[in-house]
Amino acid sequence: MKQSRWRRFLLPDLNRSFALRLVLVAVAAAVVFTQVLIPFRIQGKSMEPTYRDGGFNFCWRARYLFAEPERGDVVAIRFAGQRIMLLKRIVGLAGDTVEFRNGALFVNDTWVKEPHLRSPSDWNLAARRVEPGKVYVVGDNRIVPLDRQSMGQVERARIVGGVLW
Amino acid sequence: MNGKTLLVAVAIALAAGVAAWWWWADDERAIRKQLAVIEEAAAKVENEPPVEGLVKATQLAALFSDPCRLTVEAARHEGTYTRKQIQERIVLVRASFVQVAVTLHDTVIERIEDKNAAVRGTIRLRGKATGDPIADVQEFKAKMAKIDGKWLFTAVTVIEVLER
Repeated sequence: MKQSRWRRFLLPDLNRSFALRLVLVAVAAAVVFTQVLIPFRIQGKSMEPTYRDGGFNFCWRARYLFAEPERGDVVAIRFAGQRIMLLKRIVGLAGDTVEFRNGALFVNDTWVKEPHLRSPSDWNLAARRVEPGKVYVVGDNRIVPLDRQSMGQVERARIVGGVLW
Repeated sequence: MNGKTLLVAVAIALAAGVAAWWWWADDERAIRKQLAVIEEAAAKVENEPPVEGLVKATQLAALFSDPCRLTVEAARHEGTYTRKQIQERIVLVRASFVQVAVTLHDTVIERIEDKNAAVRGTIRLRGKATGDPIADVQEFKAKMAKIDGKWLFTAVTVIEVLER
């Protein structure tokens, strides 16, 4: 009796061809999900309301393969490796001057509208110039006191990629 | 060279290779064991008995050479501290938490040579003080040395990833 297509898909014969296909799929999945699209779970509220605590996403590593990061991009920043990464928004590029006045972001002395922000902020941070080879990153949750927010300029090389959505 | 001599030569080379690998692996194992102590001894549960806190602080301080160089790049701080000073600081920091968990990630032993090693990794702290939950992540690099058969930290640097 000829097996149906679905039956063969769900209950394949355990032969050499199946084993080969299984190995290929496993290798491809391992390469994709460790090198190209790194899955991660968001822990922390520094990017709320854009990215919620407990949310799930992927780090798209090819994002900056042929393009440079831009202001407004949300990026994953690595520490010693890729198991723990920071999710932050780029607000300043190398050579820019970044400043906060009563919660408002000023880049190169020009007010930057940030429609993604929902919370009021009272941050005040004196102007500082972003060094060559670095970008300035900040979280979207500006309700957190300034001294408790992880923010600042970071080496471009530490950017692992962008978020998928 | 006859076949028997060749076989003996190959066996000796193989044994030397296995011994070298074993020595290297042994040191790496010992270093990782020391790193595991950080996670175990730094952890604090709610209502931890004071004696247990002291024991854990002693265990943590015993991981450092006496003295040890500590650098915190973000605070532009650099200093050499005795083991006793380190232990006192650990007691203070642990006491400021009601509950705390420390985990190490992406730990890489960059090199081991001549009783010296370089380690790099990410340390994550999640805890509760009196108010909101506290979470922090830092990258560190450390130099370790085998002193009296134990791998101890001789210099630890907390790297500034985000420079405000």
